[in-house]
Order: sequence, then C-alpha cells, then structure tokens
Amino acid sequence: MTTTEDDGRRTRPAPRPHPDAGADQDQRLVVDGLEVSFGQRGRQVHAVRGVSFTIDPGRTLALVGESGSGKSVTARTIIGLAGDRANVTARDLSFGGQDLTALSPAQWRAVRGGRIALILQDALVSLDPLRTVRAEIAETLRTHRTVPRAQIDERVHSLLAEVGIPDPHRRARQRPHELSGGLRQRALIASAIAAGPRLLIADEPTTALDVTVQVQVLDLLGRLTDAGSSLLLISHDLAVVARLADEIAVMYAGLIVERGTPGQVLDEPHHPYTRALIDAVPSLHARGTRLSTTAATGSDLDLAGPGCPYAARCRLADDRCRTLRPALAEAGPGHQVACWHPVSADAPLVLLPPAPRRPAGSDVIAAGEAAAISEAVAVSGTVRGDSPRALAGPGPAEPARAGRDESDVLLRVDGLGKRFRAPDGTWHEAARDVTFALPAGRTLGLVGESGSGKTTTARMVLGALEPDEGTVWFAGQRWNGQGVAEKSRRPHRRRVQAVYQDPLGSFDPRFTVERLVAEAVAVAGVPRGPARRARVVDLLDTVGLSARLLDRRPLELSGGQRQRVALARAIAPEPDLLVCDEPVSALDVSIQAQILDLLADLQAGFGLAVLFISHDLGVIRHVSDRVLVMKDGRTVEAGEAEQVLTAPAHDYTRTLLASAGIRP
Amino acid sequence: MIVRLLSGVAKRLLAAVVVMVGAATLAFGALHLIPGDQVSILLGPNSAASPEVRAQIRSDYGFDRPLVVQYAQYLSNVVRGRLGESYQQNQPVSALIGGQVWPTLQLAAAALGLALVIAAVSAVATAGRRPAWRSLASAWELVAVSTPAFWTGLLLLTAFSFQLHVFPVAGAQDLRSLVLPALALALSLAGVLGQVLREGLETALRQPFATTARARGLSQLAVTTRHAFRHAAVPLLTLAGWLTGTLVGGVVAVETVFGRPGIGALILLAVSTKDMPVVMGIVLLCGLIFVVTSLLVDLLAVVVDPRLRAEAVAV
Repeated sequence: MTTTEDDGRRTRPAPRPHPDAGADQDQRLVVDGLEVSFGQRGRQVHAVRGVSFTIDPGRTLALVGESGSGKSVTARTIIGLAGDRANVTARDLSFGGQDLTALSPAQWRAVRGGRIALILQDALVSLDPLRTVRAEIAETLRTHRTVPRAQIDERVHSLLAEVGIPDPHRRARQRPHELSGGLRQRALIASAIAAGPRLLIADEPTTALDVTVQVQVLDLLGRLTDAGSSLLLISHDLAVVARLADEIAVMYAGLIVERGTPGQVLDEPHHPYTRALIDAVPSLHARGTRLSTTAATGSDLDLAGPGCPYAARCRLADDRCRTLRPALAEAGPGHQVACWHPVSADAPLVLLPPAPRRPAGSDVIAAGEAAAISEAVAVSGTVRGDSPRALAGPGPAEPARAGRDESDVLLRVDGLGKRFRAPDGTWHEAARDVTFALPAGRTLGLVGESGSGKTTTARMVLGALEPDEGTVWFAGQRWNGQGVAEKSRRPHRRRVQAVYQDPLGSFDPRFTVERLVAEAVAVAGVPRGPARRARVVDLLDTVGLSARLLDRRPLELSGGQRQRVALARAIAPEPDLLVCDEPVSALDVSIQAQILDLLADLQAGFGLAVLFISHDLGVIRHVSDRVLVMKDGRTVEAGEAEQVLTAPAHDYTRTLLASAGIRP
Repeated sequence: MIVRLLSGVAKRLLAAVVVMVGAATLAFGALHLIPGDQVSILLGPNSAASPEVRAQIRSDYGFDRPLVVQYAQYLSNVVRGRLGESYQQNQPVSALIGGQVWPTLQLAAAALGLALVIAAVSAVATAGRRPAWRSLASAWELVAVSTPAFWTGLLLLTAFSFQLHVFPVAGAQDLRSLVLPALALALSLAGVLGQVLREGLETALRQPFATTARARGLSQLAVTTRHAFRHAAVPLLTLAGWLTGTLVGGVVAVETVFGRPGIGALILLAVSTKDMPVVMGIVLLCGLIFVVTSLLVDLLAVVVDPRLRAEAVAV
C-alpha cells in the first residue's frame, strides 16, 4: 500500500530522495491494529477500531470521513494527545522505529514538535490569540533548542518567509486576529515546522479558509512533502484530498472501509459509503437531482454491533452485513475495500429504491417537486439541456408554473450600499450598488468569499440593517431603505424568514424542540393548546423529524436535526421568502445533502422564493436558478446559474471555480 | 489614533469623577436622612447644652442654611481636601483617616496579594488534572469561601499565637504581626479567586491553541502557565478589583479580632457614636479605593489582552 502509482492528480514529481536518504528511509510511520476507546468498562466508546496504515517519507496519506468517524482521534493518538481518558492499544505504533506506545511524558515532549507536528483547523483559535506570531513560532524553537537563543528572531523571520508570508518582520509582531485567514494559517504551519519535524499531521488544515486561499495553503503543504516530510492529512473534503494525497483511506465508525490511490477511491469507489460520500458532493450534480442516498441518519445507528457498521445506512445490506464485519480485501492493485457487496464503478446507486423516510404530506411535496424539476428544465432549457441528470427528472412539465415570467418579482434589491467604521477609524464599504431581482418561487444564489458583503446584503434584505443607500422592495412595497420604519414592516415580517449556519446560536439552549417550533407557530397565529401542538408535530413531520424529538433540547440534537428544526421554524408562518445564510456550511457532506434535498422539497411544496447565500460554489450551483457573484462588497457577475458557472465572464468567477475544483 | 486614545482615557477619568461625586452625594444624603437633629447628634445623647448654645452651634456649623447651600459648601470642601471636623474627637477627619489608613492599606494589599498567590497555585496545580485533585481543591475553596474572616482569624490566633506562639497575638509593630490577619482575610478571597481562575484555565485549556502548544512539545504545566493563565487572568483581575472594593467590610472584623490599629477601629467608633463627618470621610475613601482599583483593573486588562485595546479606545 505504500507503493501507490501516480494517477496524474498530483502534478509534482515523485518524492526526491532526501540528502541523508539512508536515515530518511527510517522516518516511516507505522500504524498497525490501532484501537482507541474512551471511558470506563461498561460505557466504553470505541473511536478507532483496528486501523492500520504506513506513511513513507515524502508521501501523503489522507484520512477521509464524516465527523465522528475516528479520523481526528487517530491523528491525535499518533502525536500522543488523545487525552487522559483514551485507552490506546496497537500491535505496532511507531515512527522511525521509535515505539510511540511506550514513551514517557518527557520523551513525548521531544517527539511532539520535534519529529511529529500537528496543524489544526483555524489559526484564529489554534494560535494563542493573545501572543504575537513571533512568540508562537519562537516557542517551538526554544522548546526544542533548534537554534541558539540569539538567532531565534532571525529564524522566525526566515520561517515566515519560507511559508510565503510577505513582510515577515511586520507580520511577526502581529497577533493572529490582525492577519488574514490565509496568512495566519501559514503562520500556524510555520510554528509547526519550526523544529523540522519529519511527519506533519494536518487536521482539516483548510476547512476555515476561502477556496482561493485553500489552494495556496494546500500548495504550501505539498511543497513541504516535496522537501521530504510525510503528511497525514485529515479532511472531510474530497476536493482537498484529491489535490494532495498519494493515498486515501476512507474511515467510517472507527474503521478504514476503503483505501487506494485518489484515482481508485474517487473515480472507482467500491464501498457504498465512499460512493455515498462522493454522490453527496453537490457540485457534481445538476439542479433537481437528489443528493442524499442513505436511508438512516447517524444518530439511530448501532455502530458497536458485530456486523458492518455501515449496514444500517446501506441499501445493499443483508443479514450477513448485519452479523459479520467484512475485513479489508484487495479490490485491485493497492486498492482495498471492506465490504461484502462492493459496488462496481458503473452500477449507479440512483437506481436503488428511494429513501423510505418521506414527510407525511409527501404527495403534495412529490407533486411540487416534479413541477420544480420540470420547471428548472423548462426555464433554462438551452443551458440545462446538456445535463442528462436534470432531464431525467421525474414527471412531465407543468405548464402553470413553467409559464411564470420575470415580471412576477417578489424581491427587488436596488442599488444597496452600506458602510461600516473599522476599529482604526477608517470607513469600510461592506456593500456597494447591489442590485438584483428574485421572482416568487425561484432561487437566487449569492456567492462570494468572506468579507464579500453577502451577509450584509442578507441582513438588509431581512430588514435587520438599514442601508445607507438603495432600496429593498418586497412584494411591491418599500421594505427597507432610508426612512422605512420597522413599524411598516412588522405586519409583513412573517412573510420573510431566515435560516442561518449555526442554529445553536439562534436557539435558546434551554428550550425544547417543541417550544422552539411552537414559538414560531404562535407567531403565525395558531392558538395555544392542542391545535398548536398538532401544528408543531405536523411541521416536524414535514422536515422529516420524528415527534419523539419534541422533548429534546438543541444540544441533544445532531447538526442535521438542528438545521431541520430551524427549517421547521422558518416555514411555520408560511413565508414567501426564505433567506438562507450558509445553511449547510457547518454540516458533514452527507447531512448537507439531506438538508439541501429537504430545502428543495420545501421550496417546491410551498412555492418559496429562496435567497441562498454560500461560499461553496458547488452548493450554489446545485440550488440556484440565478447566481450573483460578490467580491469586496460589489457584484462582479450575475446571471443564469449554468451560464455563470459554466461560462464565467469575470476573472474572479473563474478563479473561484478553479479553486473549488469545478471545471466549467 | 493618539487622539482616540486620549479621548478614551479622558472618558475613563470623567467616569471616575462622576463616581466620586456620587459617593460624596450619597454620604451627604445619608447625613441628612438620619432621623434626629444634627446638633443633638453632634452633642451626643448625654449633653445638657442650653437652647442658646445649641442655636450657636447650629449657626457655627451652618445647619441653619438651605440644604442646597450646605451641599455646595460640602462639595467645595471635599474638592479642597477638607472633610470637616470629627464631632467627638475634635480633630480634622482627614487627619484621623490619614493616621489610621496605612496599617489598613498594608493589610488589604497583603491579603489581596496572598489571596492571588494561593488561588494561582491551587488553580494551576489542579486545572485540567485528575478529577480527585480537582474535587479536593474545590472542596477547600468552598470551605474557605463560606467561612467568615473573623472566624478564620480566631482559629488562626488559637493555633499559631496561643498554642504555638509563632506569631504575635495583637498589634501592628512588624511584618510578623501582619501574617495572621492577612491570611485570615486572604483565605476566603483565595477561595473565590481560585474557583474563577480554575474555571478560566480549564476553558482556555480546551481551546485549540492549547492543543497546538502541547503538540509543539510543551508540558501541560507550561501550557497552563504560559498560555492559559493569561486567558484566565482577565476575569480574575475583574473579580479581584471588585473584591478589593468590598474588602473594607472584612478589614473591620479582622482588625478588631487581631487588635490592629486601622480604619476598622475608626469606623466602629464613628458609627457607634454617630460621628457623621468621619463616616462620610470613610465613605469617600471607599469610593476612592473603588475608583482607583477599577482604573487599575481596566489598565491591566488591556495589557493582558491586547485585543481589548481597540475596544478600550472605542468605549
């Protein structure tokens, strides 16, 4: 498995032999039969169950999986930071011949930072926010006595230059919050590599970054492996992994279920879970196709059972799957799969029966869904015509809806502008001359990187922020602008609802699900008592949640369930417009797929207009009729979704697309 | 930037002045809200002064003038540092307080310093460690918080002065006599501060930067002292500043138990004899201590957390 063939995804050359090649060959990470569990006997949680892999010098292994799959625990265990309560056993866990299971605390301190380094997700919180970049990098140098004390400053500056930070003298004096996301992630990497470790563990190193910056940071990591370091890359993002990995291992419930080169795993996945992961990436699927294929959500699963842990979610599962766990078996040269029913590359999973969990009012939604899909095809016939998946949508076109034209505008935004005062006293233009129109029942995707003005625009559309110039028209009335009073908006407030990225922040943590939804139902005018409760249950059913969750509190829900509750609240007053600000950005890809499918169902069923804000072009492409690309508060490009995303006119849109790995 | 910084400082100072005027007004109001005639209070319960003498006193002290005039006169005196004469001791209030304030400040500073040290040691040693150690530390902190300082003082006296003869029983002659009272006062403070500090340390240790620091090769102790402590220090400072403002009450009891000179004895005497000018002077002193410590805490917080700089300027 350490000899993986190059499949052309990585353009860089095969690892060069390091100057001291002899010693270098010993710098190999061996993980054999790693088991990690937490807690005491009886209530043990097995986070990692018999994981094995090796990484040779200069190579990159990517561990891919959803949250809770055990990939981060595996990474932390290798650097000895799985925590006091972790019970770690392994047949072999060694780096460069040094047994990592038998190290004293002092020996561990020499290994950490010195031979193995860890790079975490967001440098804003992964670097000490109270200390300067210099202090953070110097700490590594001092701890491992890498350079004499007098040369520390000099070395800090050369390290910053090495990771591609311009003006290192100035940057070294700054603190993480004073740097941009990309720069501080580079600074974090500089602090990790300061003592010259031979193995880098990068746990979601680019997840918090904008796509264009992601590419730069990944390139930096690639350069480091070219220089002879090994890299263990942890990510949930298949695009990130494809760019960098020599080998990919897919983890599920603490087990490696598939392993191979990026070509094998991403292009010819054999495990149904790998297949589902890839299918759930929205950018690969045209509008109107369903993304989620799994039958059950993670919370209902019996992962510790004797069978295949994926059996409960797998459509191919039979009795053998549920009683006997499959071992990793060769599926090709260097390609291993742990599955009794490996899928062949061509067999489309889409032909399998649809998900059994349909909302109760499913006939209504199903009809609406068909209409939405046919409408999507009809409206943009020429551009969408080349997409076979869109054309394969069920049901014939419905003339009533397809005939809708642009004059039926629900939301019109006209020359919106907003300025803010920065802490240093200068004015910052968050939005400038933003103009668009959104017809009833349609979706407008607002895409851009952080700081592009997406959220400012959304807040002005919601009437939460008064614009400095311009007007928002909603249903033919002045909705927001200079001099529009909240009092005049209030009677129509219920017609505009919002869904945010993190519902945990907008839910009272002490409220139960019933109370959370009932609050929204009350606003819609449903009287207290059995009627209200019935409406709550009805709404939960519509968003695919069981009434058993009524007594749960937000913290006891999974991320996907929380977002479903947020949607239930949003649709309770039967709005005409839904403003979604990064609604799926915090979710695992398979959960994201379910929420996007649900949103499509709701939109079709209730004829909602949706203003969908995201930094993720794939998501935007999947949900939008029209797209607006924003940068630094301005609109750089706007048009039909397929038009903008397949034939971008603006350089910035092209850069975004290229960074996201979407080929126009 | 400089202008904004200066305006920020000016705003803080203005707020301090407002607090001081408030304290003075409160003291003045208290004097005039106390039931009974000012002159009777001044003369004491057993005085046999004739009505003529009383009228004379009334006019000497200006009690016959309108309240507004008295208030203005009082404020202008306070600004010039004149706190009036004690009714009972025939001395200027400023001289009385000035003569007694140093032993008290000594005791308060020693107690606060000691409390911070005890809290820091106890919290750093137990934060993020085994649950057994944590529960033990939490338990002693709970006991320390809930035990009144005078009771702790009596216990300490019994043990170290009467039984072991290590420390003197009373007085303020040298540093040795400071140890027991400071400890008595510090223990309950240390209990509160320790709990807040441990909470802050553990919050900081759960942050990703703590993991990054461990992954750099730092020991748990080094991460706690070099990284987490600074994060936990801001809430600790805020609380310590607030506790300093309330320390006077504890000082009275402890000074009495240990027979120390200081503001405590002065307060007791002034309150029991209704010596209003002295009481008002002490109210002003408390206000001053509160204002100064608040300014100090704000300043230190900005030093500890540079991110607060922008906010401090903006406020």
